Amino acid sequence: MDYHYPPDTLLFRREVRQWLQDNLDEALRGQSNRGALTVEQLDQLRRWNRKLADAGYAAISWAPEYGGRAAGVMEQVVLAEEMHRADAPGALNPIGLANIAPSIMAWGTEEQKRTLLPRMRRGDDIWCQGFSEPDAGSDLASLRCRAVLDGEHFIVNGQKVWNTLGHYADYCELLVRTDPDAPKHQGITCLLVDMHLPGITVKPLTTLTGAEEFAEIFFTDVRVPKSALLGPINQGWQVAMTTLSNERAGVANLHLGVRKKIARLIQAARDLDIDGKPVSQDPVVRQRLARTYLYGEYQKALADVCIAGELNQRPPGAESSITKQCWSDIEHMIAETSASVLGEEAHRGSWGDNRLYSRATSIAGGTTQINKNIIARRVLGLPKA
Amino acid sequence: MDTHYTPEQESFRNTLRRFLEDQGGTHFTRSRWSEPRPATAGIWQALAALGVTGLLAPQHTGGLAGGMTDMGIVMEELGRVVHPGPCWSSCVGATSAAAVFGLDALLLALADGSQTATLALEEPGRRFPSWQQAQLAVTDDRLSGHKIQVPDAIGADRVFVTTSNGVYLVPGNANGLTITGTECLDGSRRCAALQFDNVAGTRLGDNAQLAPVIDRMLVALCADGLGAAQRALELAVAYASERKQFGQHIGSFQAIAHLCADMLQQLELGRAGLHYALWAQDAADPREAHRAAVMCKAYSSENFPQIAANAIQIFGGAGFTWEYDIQLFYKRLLSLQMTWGNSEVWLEELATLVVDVAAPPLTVEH
Repeated sequence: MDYHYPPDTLLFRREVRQWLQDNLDEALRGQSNRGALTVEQLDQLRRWNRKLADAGYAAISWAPEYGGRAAGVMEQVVLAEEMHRADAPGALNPIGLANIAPSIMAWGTEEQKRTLLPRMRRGDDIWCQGFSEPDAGSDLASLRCRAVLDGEHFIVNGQKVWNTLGHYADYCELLVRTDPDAPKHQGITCLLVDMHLPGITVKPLTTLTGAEEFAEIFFTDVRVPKSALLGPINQGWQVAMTTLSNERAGVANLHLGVRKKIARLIQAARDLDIDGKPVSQDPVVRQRLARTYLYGEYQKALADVCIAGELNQRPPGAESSITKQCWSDIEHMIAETSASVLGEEAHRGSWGDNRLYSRATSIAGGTTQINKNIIARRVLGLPKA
Repeated sequence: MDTHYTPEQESFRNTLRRFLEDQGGTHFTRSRWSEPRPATAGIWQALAALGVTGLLAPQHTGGLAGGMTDMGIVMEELGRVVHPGPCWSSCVGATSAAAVFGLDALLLALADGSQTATLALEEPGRRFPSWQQAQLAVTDDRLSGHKIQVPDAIGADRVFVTTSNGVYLVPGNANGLTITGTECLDGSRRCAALQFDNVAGTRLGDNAQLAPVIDRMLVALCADGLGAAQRALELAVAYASERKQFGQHIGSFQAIAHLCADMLQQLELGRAGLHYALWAQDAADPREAHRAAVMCKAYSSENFPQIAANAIQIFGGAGFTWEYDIQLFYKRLLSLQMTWGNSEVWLEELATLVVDVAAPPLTVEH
């Protein structure tokens, strides 16, 4: 066992840290690249995204031919750590870069790769995923949004929902049903749809936090050129699975945000006086703070196992299947601890948002219950019903 | 960078696992349940031959000069069969303590398996993390007072004793020393109360010198717990995959499947923290090694017993019988929970390390 990062990552860390110091505007520090964004914030983030991209930091894991630097897992980790340390906003297209691009690289035509990927990398185009539907959530493969081939076009009709960044998106990785008679996993096709086509209506959805973070998308007789096809027709499920497996590989850095929040919570408890002394001296509060801190640190330990597994080219084990769930648990714990520590203060400002937002962590990207089904069957080998 | 054991370490694990299975696995433990001295001379000599007793001892005393990552493997494997011998107290604790104080003759005897030794730290009415402030009285190098919860004291050749005047070494058969076995619901572990009446001892140094030894022992105890919890989960999953009710395997019911998924999550998160803590004992500075040990004991005490408790639930009525092994793991993990301070005690200690300081220390990017 050796928990030291390989020595050459140190050089890369210095390089990134220096670059961030020289290039990150003070005004951008702490700006989120998610949630409700004003047009002005979006512009600001887009400029920042271009700067990141032109310096080669927007999609470092990509192959050089697509503008990346073929960075290995350690460089990805170090970049994420340094971005967090500097409070720098991430690239505008987190879902595009991490989830959609790998599918385009794996299944796309040369033309698609050449035209779509560089613009995605610079944040010139914002991407969303069109997967879930009102009646196809956890049971994604039962999706019904229809596409019918008509000469050189697909005619698309249907509705998508929970589309993160949907109301800003220029492109959508869309799953449609092209063969309603085939078994449900075999009649699905993936299209890369220009969101500015006529017949597409996007309605922002207001989340329970009050933010407009995702959208629902309506397709009415939308004529999508055949060239938008990603991968073979009726093999969209396989294309989508490339995407989802990449989504799971990216979770190793989840501890960064968590641990920063916990440090802030501990500081808040030290600063808040109740009955003439800091609330951090209350024995019950101390138990809760220490436990929260512990699980935050263990999230990092788990990330190290995932990172080392990838670095040493081991197939993903139990650690990667539980990472998302552990993260969701610790986010819930932070929310509850903040209330226990800060009282009414926890219902205002960023702590209030955080408490409400924490509910999303056990739903988005696969609910906890679906994850448990998968873990029980695939990792533990328990029998199917 | 790697968080896994090396292939050499894994092959050591396999050898040890085969040996313990050949000895009867949990049958051996059952045959020695609640015996005052559970390890037979035969098994102890065999463990010595495998390099277990001398694993942490320096080479010049006949040891293998291994580290805690190696010892983690031993403890995990012993936990898997709830082995009852004094490995934790003697091969981890006393051996590390003897190395701290440079007791080469004792190290030699511990390494070759001819002797065992233990540590007497706890005193009535005190929380474990304050063990350095021992009150046991010393006058002219003679010890008087009480120690409790001393592991594997019956049959130990030497006892390291914390006192108000630092650490002393006394023979297990010293005049004036009375050792009384303590009742424990876990018959795979032995504890005793020690009464000192003017017992002659040899002063070795300050209590604080034992601090890294205690951290090692805490982590080793958790490694034993990991092995036991992993085995409990394996047994529960195997049972859920074969037991049928309503015409179906009970493991196909989500209520059971989700319980198993929860257990896996608790186990694997614990493994991640434990492996880091083992490595930290060998390679990090003492402060970081201590922080990792404290977190490890707090986490393991809280989570590992729950894994075994849920395993009993999955076994249903069978889990509540003496016949099924799952109860052995539950008891082993209850003693992990209680030995040397439970989760609450260590969370308070963790709070002093991370809440009472200006900036909480975070696991560094090494």
